Amino acid sequence: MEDVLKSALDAARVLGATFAEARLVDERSESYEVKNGKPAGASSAVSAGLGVRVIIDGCWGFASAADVSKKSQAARVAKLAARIAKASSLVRASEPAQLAPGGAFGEGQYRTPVAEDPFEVSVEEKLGLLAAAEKRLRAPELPVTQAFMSIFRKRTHFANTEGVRFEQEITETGAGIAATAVRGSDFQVRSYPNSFRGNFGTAGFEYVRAMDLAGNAERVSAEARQLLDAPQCPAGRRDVVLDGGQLALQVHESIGHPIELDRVFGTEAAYAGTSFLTTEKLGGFRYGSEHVNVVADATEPLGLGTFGFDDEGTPAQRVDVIKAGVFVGYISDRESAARLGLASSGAARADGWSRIPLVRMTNINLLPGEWKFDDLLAATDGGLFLATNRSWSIDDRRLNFQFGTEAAWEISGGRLGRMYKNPTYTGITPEFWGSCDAVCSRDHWKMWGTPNCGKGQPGQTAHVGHGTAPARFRNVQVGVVK
Amino acid sequence: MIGRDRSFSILERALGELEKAGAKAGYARLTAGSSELTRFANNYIHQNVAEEDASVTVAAIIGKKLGGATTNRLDRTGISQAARLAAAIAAQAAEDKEFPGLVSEAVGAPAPEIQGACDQKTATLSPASRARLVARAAGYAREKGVVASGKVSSGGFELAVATSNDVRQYATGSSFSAACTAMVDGAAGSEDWSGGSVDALAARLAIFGREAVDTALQARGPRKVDPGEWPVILAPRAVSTLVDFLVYLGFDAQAHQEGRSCLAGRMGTPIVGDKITLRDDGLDPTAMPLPFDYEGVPRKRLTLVEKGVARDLPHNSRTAKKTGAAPTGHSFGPLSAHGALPMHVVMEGGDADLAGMIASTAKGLFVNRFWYTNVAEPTKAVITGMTRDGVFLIENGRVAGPVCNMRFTESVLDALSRVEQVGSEVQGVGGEWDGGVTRVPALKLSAFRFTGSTEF
Repeated sequence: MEDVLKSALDAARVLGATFAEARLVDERSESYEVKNGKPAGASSAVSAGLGVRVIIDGCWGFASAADVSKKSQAARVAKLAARIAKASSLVRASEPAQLAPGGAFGEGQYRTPVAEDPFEVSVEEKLGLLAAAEKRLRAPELPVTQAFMSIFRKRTHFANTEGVRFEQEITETGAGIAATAVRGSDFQVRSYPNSFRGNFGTAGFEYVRAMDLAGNAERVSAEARQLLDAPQCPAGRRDVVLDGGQLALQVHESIGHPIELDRVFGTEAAYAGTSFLTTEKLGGFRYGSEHVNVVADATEPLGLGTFGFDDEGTPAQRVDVIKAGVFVGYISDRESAARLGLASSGAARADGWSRIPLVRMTNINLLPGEWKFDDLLAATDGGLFLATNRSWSIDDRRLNFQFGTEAAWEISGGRLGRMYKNPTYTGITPEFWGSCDAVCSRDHWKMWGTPNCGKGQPGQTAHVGHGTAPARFRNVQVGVVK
Repeated sequence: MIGRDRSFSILERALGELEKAGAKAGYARLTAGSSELTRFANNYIHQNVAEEDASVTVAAIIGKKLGGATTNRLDRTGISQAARLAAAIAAQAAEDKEFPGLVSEAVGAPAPEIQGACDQKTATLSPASRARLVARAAGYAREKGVVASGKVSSGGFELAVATSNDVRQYATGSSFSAACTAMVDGAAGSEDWSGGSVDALAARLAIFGREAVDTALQARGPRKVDPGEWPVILAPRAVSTLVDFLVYLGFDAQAHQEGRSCLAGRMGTPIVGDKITLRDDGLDPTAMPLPFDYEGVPRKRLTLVEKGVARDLPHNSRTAKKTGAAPTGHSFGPLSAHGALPMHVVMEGGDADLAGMIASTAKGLFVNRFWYTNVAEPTKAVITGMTRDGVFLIENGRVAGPVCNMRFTESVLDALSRVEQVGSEVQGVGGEWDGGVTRVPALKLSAFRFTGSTEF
């Protein structure tokens, strides 16, 4: 490993690189699905390769290749990166690329704490666990019942020309169940513990065992069928309580993306979009109410954004993003941070060996408040409780959003009452967060994993985390899809 | 390039290793390619990348049990490990009683090579060539005081399939894409050109960036208009969003069989206006063709919608067996939990031009592009998203000025039932899903439902 990294960096230096970094990444994954009583997928994948990023004459170049077992191959990849950097100089910025301080260490190691290695659990046991849960989902009017599991491991060896080196092993585990109910053109889904294949965390197989998929299957099955008989969610302005899973995606779309400093500087303008959160807003912009406190925390256990080092070698950090409703910090990489004269927040993350690091979310967490969930319901009479994301959409500056959830319940007499189908709600980011007047306590706070966050060209998928507890928002526009 | 002979040599080794591992039936697929992408923002190149990769996916089939594995380690050890892992998974898996088996040699007969599918110039386009295209867009933007961002990408790929049923398929291809988004004073415009070769787009690339920049300049100072139902003229990029979601929600045979398709029970009946004809043509050499699918079945041309009537459904061998149909060459492989989908969709052009559409509109909106669209109600094909990169008010047959972006929530089926005019020029644009090309004209619709507005 060291030889390959050294060959790449040496070759880059010889070709004129003033900065170079090399990442050897080895990824392994397994994916399982049981659908309608039969296996619908059981597969494994491994992918390994080298990525080399260089700065020559103030311009970036990156190249990557899978077959780098020989040192000469590593030098070839570095040579291509150098050739590309020289082409970049044909349409260059007025200022050369600058890097803020990143790794303040020489060498480091990190490994996800794992109690039970998911790759050591037999295929038979994994499929058996899913089959047992899926069997309990099956019922009339449910043409599709599914149970999912995915496990993932990424090993990184990193070195750069500034002497930073680290080795890291990240293990992720996740699972979930879903029941699809259909009657005529009515189509309803209920999921557990979250939609879109479940919940995910940096953990071992103990994480899946603790979910008790089978123990939740009958409730999920019953709720999917109840949705067929439920009335449409009434439209109008209502107080709403969002469950943790939906709130996680609300945080993701309307806080996590706008605080990405590269978007603010326009480097994602043509694809992912920009951000309304322009730099003059740092330190003074009222993002939400005093109840809204948000951190980017790569040190929080179990999150999909939990690691030891980001993909530029910057150690994991916890940084304030919103304090008592005021916007106080972006997430950044070394290049974007340098433009504000700051140090990197440690949020440079790459989707494997063949992609460059981009500013990506780590764990963007809404800090817990003090409410007990039952007390919050008791204090929200006439409101709606919305649970589990079903759809999402937001504009390219991250202001106008619309979400749909799997189900809603009327809050009546201090408890959940009538169930509604097809709930949606819409809003404008700062107004919505400004309407937050209650967040539940640490007892109700949980890490949610979002393993499908897209950004960049060529496309990259990041695995990111969000810690949330249910929270209340006043006077929200709830709409019905007609 | 790995080449045909070496590709099959690797796949034969994989089939041999599967057999040694206890799988009497086996499947192996090789995907390889190199791709390079030059990205620009703020009128300069800020990211510039290259990737070379090749991987083999194997499926071990033991009776009715399946297991799969993928590796990009193509030496003897790597292939052997993948085969043994796939066989181990299959041995422990439950029986998949509906597995139809691997396709026969007859069904997977060799697909003819598509001449022109792989353009060597495009597959090996240099970083400097891409940079010169960027310079064209960035230079024009600078001249006009506008900020341009976008990408120019190029590459080549190989795909080979081999099975223990003696199916053998091999194909190569190339792809090219150039896109530009221009911004000025909070306004934006964009353009997107995709296809199988850079030369086929030469006329557009000669003025790369101009459409985006000029649109952005015209979109400055937008006024806010009320949401609600508006007559609209949709540029090809906006049309491609509607088409891509219609295909995704309506033309998956597996979703039909599970009763969750928006077109379940509606095949053979009118689903949209009679001005709409949609085909899937994976054999057109100009649009990144693939002559066979991941099961090794030669791809057929399909008529998805003919004058508003839903016609053909794509099938993999699994969905085909259930209905007595033949597989159409649209499968994602024997291990995929997904059905079969059209990947090369083209809407037939009409006889209208954009100027005529505008001239015939008393009051309406012109939409250049939709953004971040998602499904709201799948069985009704209801989707929601935002406009982006230029919305204009049309009054009395003329463009009256830019308007602020709006949210729409609309059924694709309802929207395409209100088509009044179809543009004559069919444009290939990068579709909703990365890597694909959807070829569509502009459309004029009598009504389209906007459900929210913005201040920008």
